[in-house]
Amino acid sequence: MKSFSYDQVKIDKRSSLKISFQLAQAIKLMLLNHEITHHELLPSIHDMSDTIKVRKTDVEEAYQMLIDEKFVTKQDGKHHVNYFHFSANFFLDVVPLIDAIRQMGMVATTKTIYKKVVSLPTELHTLPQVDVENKYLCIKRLYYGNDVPLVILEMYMPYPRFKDLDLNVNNHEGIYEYIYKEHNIKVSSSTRTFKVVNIDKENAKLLNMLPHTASYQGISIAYDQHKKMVDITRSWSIINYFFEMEYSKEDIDKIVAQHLFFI
Amino acid sequence: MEYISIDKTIKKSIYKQIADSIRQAILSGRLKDLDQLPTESELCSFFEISDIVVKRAYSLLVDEGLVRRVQGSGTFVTTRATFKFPLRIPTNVDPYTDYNYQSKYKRVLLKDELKSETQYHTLLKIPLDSSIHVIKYLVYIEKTPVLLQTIYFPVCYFKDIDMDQFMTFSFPSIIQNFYGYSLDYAKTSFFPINISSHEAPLLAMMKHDAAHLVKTTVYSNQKPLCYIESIFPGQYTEFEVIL
Repeated sequence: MKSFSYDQVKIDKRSSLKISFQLAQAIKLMLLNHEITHHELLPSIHDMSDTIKVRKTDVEEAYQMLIDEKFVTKQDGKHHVNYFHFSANFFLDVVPLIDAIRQMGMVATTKTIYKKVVSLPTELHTLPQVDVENKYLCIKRLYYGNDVPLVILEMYMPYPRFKDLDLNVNNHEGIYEYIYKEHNIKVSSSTRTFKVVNIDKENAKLLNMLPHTASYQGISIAYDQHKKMVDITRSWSIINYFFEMEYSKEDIDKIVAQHLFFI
Repeated sequence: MEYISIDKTIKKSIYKQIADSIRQAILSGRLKDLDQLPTESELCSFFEISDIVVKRAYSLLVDEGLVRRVQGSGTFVTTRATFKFPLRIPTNVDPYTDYNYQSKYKRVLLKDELKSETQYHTLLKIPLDSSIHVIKYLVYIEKTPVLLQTIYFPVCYFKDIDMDQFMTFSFPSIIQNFYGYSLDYAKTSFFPINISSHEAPLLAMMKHDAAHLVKTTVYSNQKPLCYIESIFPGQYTEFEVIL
């Protein structure tokens, strides 16, 4: 494990800002710049206070702020980083979730919550080119990275087409991997949207979160190599992660020219 | 509650009658976004029906996306339009131009100068004793606030800001067209947050509602030129990527 770079923590004792706030902000910045990553330990309160020459109570207060904001968790008196940087590949490429978790340097595992044949939930009826009369095989799975629950996927696959899937798929592989291996169906394109929702009680419990916590909800429609629909998937993910995008000069020019206002 | 009517003598189930009345009141505009519906117990005692019936009616409307239930607060009408932005900028952005803010308007909430704010000085890589302009404003589309944005830009790169320009143009276009900076690239991070109680009313949201926090640093000549924090209503803002 790499050592903590104390030189990144700059405290201005003459500032009107509280020292604890400055320390919390400095650590947060290190997290967001990937200088400290998930599961790494923060220095002990004693070491931090001793090295950067501030009072122990200021360090305690700063660590508490980070715990309150879910950047850090406290276990056995030690402060662990609890923040994930999700690979943007997951959002920008047709990468199975299981591979996206592996790309984060974690051991990826899954657990099937249920499999059943259902009608499509009303919320998904407005999606383009969706047959709402059809029955769907719904597979709800929880994906873990290093045994920490990260994402719930609720997949709806057109039923007659994937009739046998529920009998065979196991918990150690992604569904897309399985259907490629067994049925030669390759997911080749998809449309995904992301919004942030207040997570409901049932899904919050699966992700060890409090109900009503903000969670990214993704909705995607995937198509195979013959442009036939493979599935519609809803996903929910833990709050304590973020993802990054980089926009080129050409992107910025388009954003400016078209008055899109998210930059 | 006068917009809800039920007739126990007809064959149609009561929960459908309640849902139909409320749906009709929403679609006709009688009930508006964020209007609160009667509580389950109010409906039960008023119409002398069981709470299961009311629950069924409300959950039908929730599934249709017309109302939302907020734990501890009640059931509210939700009729806001959803705005969609491209996450990866496609060659053709025409499908997204409905969501641009040309002809939309801004309301400035704060214009100030900051000194010694470690976080922003570090992000913008400028000395602690130099000043940073801060402008916080809301963007509205047809009277609905869709974005709360705060821009931090160092005084050393931008001497003074013409607020008329600011009200008319987007900030990146001001940087390019009026200050002559070339924008090389932007780094953007996306976070899910529960909105704070003081920011929620600005975006016509309820406290702790889910929101997108989008942090962007815009670079020119490898230097961070400005830092922008944007908060979008989470339920009503979608980022899309077509793969």
